[in-house]
Amino acid sequence: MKEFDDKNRQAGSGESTDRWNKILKENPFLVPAGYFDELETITRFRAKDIRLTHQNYPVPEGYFETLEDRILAQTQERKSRMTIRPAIQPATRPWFQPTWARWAAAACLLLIAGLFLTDRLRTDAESFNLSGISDQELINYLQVFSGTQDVIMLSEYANDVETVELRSDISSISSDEIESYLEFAW
Amino acid sequence: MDDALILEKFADPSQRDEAFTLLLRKYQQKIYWHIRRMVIDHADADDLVQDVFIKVWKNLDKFREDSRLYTWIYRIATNECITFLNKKKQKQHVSLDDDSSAYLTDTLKDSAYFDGNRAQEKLQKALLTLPDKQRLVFNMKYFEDLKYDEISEILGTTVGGLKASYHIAVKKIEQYFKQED
Repeated sequence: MKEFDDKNRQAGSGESTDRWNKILKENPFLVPAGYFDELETITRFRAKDIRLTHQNYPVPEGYFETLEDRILAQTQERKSRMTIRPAIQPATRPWFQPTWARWAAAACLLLIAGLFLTDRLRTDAESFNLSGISDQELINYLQVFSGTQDVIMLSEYANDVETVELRSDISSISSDEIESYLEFAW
Repeated sequence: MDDALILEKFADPSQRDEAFTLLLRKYQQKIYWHIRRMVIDHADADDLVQDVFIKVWKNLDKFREDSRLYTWIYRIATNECITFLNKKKQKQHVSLDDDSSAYLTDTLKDSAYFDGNRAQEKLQKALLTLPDKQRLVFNMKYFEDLKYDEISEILGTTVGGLKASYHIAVKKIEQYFKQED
């Protein structure tokens, strides 16, 4: 190549034109050892695979010739069904269609509602029954049928109630009434 | 093996495999190097050369003998290269204004299968300053020793256009060498 020859002369390397061109034209790229043998094998296998994909899955004779007609016939049949019977057989699904998921959801809802109601009724019933029993009766009952801690707690609570009731009673009594009471009591 | 004989064998289903093997043996190295000089990386070239011959296998029965077999194969390979390089450019977000092949410089640096001396490395770097199509013309003319009419048949460009393209490529390479010295 003339241009590179000029370049070579300018550089003053002294190498001949042919040699310089030969160096530049030499292929500097490498390939892995045995690459082209492998390439031939791989490419042939890949090409065969393509052919085998058609051969391995045979279809009945004339399948593709009739395929288009059969698909079109089916789509036409479907179209006619949809246009003739829209009022008789609506395309929408029925409102109630029992499925496993629906049954499971219903069962869960019933269970939750049942647990809630049972708890609520039991609480109301207990509070209703206990309201008619005096504190002293409860203490007596617990002394017989329950642990010590319950009795102590209930006693404390009962004392609090008595104190509150006593205070409210005292506040409603005038100081004259208290003085006259004390005169007669002491 | 003459191309006409390969095509004749390929037309006979019983000799198709043999014809394809002959075709592979005749062209696989030339096509590989044609691709490799363009994409630089061996793994990319390996993928592409296989794709090219699979396309040849799938379409050889449709090959019309109004062109030469080897120019037809070269054209498939060239199209695969250009498509691949355009995709690579997009992946690397190379600006559309940058028409050089500089995006391949790292591929050249990182390539484990490059063993050029200083001058060869310099020439490769100079080539990467060219647009892909100019580089293609230069490679085919300078390294692959193809004639202008053959390149014209492969690229579908006029011989005059190819000569101009090659001339510009050479000038750019010279310029690169001067700048680097």
